[in-house]
Amino acid sequence: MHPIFQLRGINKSFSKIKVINNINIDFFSGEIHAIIGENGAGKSTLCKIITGMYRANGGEMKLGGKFYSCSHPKDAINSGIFMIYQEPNLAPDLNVYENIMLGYEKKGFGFIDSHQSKETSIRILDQLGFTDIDIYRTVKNMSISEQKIVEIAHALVLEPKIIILDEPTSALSKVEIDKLFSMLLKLKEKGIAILFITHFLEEVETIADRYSILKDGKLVESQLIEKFDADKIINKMSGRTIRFRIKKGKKKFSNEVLRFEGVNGAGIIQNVSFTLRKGEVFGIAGLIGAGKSEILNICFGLTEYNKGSISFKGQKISNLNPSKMIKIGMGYLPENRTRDGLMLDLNVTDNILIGNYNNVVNKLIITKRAEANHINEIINYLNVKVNSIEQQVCELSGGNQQKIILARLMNFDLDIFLLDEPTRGVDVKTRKIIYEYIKNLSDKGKSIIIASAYIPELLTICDTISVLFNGKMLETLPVNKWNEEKILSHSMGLLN
Amino acid sequence: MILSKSKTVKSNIRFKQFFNTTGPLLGFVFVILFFSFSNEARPYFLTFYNFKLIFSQTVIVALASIGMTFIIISGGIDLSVGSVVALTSVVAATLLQYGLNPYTVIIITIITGGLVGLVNGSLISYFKMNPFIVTLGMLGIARGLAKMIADNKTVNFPDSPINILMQTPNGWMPPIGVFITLLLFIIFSIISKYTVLGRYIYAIGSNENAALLSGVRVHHIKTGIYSLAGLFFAVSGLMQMARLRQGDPTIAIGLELDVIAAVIIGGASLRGGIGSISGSLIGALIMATLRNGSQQMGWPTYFQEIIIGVVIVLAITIDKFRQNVNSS
Repeated sequence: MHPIFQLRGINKSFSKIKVINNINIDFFSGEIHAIIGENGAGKSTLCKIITGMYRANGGEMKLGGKFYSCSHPKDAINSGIFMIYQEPNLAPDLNVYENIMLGYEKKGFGFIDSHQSKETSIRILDQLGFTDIDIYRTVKNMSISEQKIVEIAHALVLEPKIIILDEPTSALSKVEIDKLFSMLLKLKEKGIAILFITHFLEEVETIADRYSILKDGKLVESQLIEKFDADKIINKMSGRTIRFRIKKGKKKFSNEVLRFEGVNGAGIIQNVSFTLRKGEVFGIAGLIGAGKSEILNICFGLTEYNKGSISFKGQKISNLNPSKMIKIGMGYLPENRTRDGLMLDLNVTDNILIGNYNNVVNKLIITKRAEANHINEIINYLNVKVNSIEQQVCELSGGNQQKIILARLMNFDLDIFLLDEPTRGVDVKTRKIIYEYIKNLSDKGKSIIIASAYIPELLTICDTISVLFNGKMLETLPVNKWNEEKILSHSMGLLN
Repeated sequence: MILSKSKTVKSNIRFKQFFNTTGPLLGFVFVILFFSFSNEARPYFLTFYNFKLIFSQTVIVALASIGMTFIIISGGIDLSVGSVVALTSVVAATLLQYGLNPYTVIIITIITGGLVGLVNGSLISYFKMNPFIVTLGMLGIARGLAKMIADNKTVNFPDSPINILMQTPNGWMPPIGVFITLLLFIIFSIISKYTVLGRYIYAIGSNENAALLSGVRVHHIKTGIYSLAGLFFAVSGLMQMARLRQGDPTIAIGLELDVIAAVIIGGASLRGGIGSISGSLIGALIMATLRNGSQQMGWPTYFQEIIIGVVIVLAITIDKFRQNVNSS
């Protein structure tokens, strides 16, 4: 079998720093090829070279045996290579079929032939196995997983040879991942080569036919999946073994810090009650759309609730808003860090200090030296990699950006941490640092609520887990009473 | 290997900072050199007297640009500047006509500007209305009010000590207004860089959501920014009145465009989060120098308008180029 796409000796440097170093990989039609590596290993850069966002400094690419070069993303699409980015890349105000056909509309007399657009959209969605999607729905009202489906349908209009998916599962829950995978298998049957970038090794084992490991811009190995061994792979990716086992002593919780009683709101949350105690790590499991984020939003005063009560350290509180909640000692890590978390134009210092400059202000004036001392202390603790504390955060990798927000929370004097998908889109090393950060907080008597779609994560770090289904809290139990299957069946509403 | 990597990146950051702060300044120097080399303009252009003139011509735009810089950094815009300047100049002239004490007049006028800003800011932050639309409405309202108060005529008043603000004394001294402007620039430049309020304004402009979630009282601060800007527009209005020695409800039409241009030439981005008070001062100086130089060259006014238009587009092009450097 001849490879459909070949990379030969690809090199790429940014201002003399080699980020891609002599990479050779073969991709085959009808195969799912996983590309794994930590953040900064060069996965994204490699894809950007393939799709024409960057020009390689050396090496050659062959598509179907012919030399392939592209200087513009449009060239890649025309040659049959389509990339689907981590964040949805759709026109939010248009509906499903308009998005699927965007740029490929059939025209008659200068007008868009919407009848044909609809037919084509329905045909493609049928092929993918999604007959239940309403093609008239506005895309912005759809969940991330549904938007992903629309994007893949959009990619299929031009019948591409290669589809690149950049961490497609990072925002999806288990059931949605299964749906996505069944769709990928259908694409595979059509003979499309799929490049699948991911952090999750179990996904590689489940779906991939072949895998390539990148590390520091170099190819470590490219193998058939039969050679896959998760433990060794982690070693190869990071150069050291990382075990996600957080040692936990037996903890007894007494003092209650936060209590929800019969809270309704945010259009989905129904009659939610729970108690968070001092030092407790409380996990909220559930599918996307089950209302995990909504509970945190209500708690932080971003969404109003219309029934029930919330008490903080025994006292009922009302009229919640973020600045009030931070003042009484509650902090929030948003799910979408670029949209809600970071000020990308600003530097590391301001991104960490925002909300609390008290440590660096002397008589109303911010002193640079106090700033430098304070910031260096925090970023050393969290092992944030920056070139300078004046560096803009848009230049940092995803994992380091996430650490910046954790650093910001550290800079407040908080008792309760609300973390929404704290490890979304971060590499293995950062994931471990985040878990340690959470453990240290809990050891210091801080209370943490974590909403996560990634069940193993909750089982690793939480003391108590509660499962949400359609906005209702089904059951709240200590972590040792849960296992992955049980959480999953609860999440899907299959109570036994 | 790693050492050299961090070195190049660091020098890259330095270069960017250097470019961001000195870019507008280089532009200013270039404009001065340009007119200095021309045989027609040089004898008049490069004189002490002329620079005194340029400085006093800059005052009105420069003062308003302090307020506008904060608004633009926070991601907003204010189109009502010209009308507010006219309104406040008419209010001050009318009060002087009534024979009020000049200090009282100054205070009431400045409060008037602040109130207009407060209305703008409240509508924009608490009712989440688009700043472009709100201030476009205010552009009409304030202009109408100015004409109403002035009864559609210029408002004359007996000679007042306020006029000293823009009077040019003999000798090297520029008017007091120039020094007041300079002092305000220094104070607000420090506020923007070294106070928590200043940092929050940048934060709001860069990502309002993130600022809100970090406990910043975004709505209060935004309202405050528009109110503060209103105060500056009122000070501009006072200077305008002092220069003309009368209140004119039809003055300063389109001034907002000059002010926005000064801020943008000074390195601010209309997307918010980027800009500086000192840059805006230089932007205002560039605008005034271009006008002055073009007059010295004997260029017709339409040609001046074209040149200033070109400079604005050029400034934004350079800004775009700079962002590309930043992102790569």
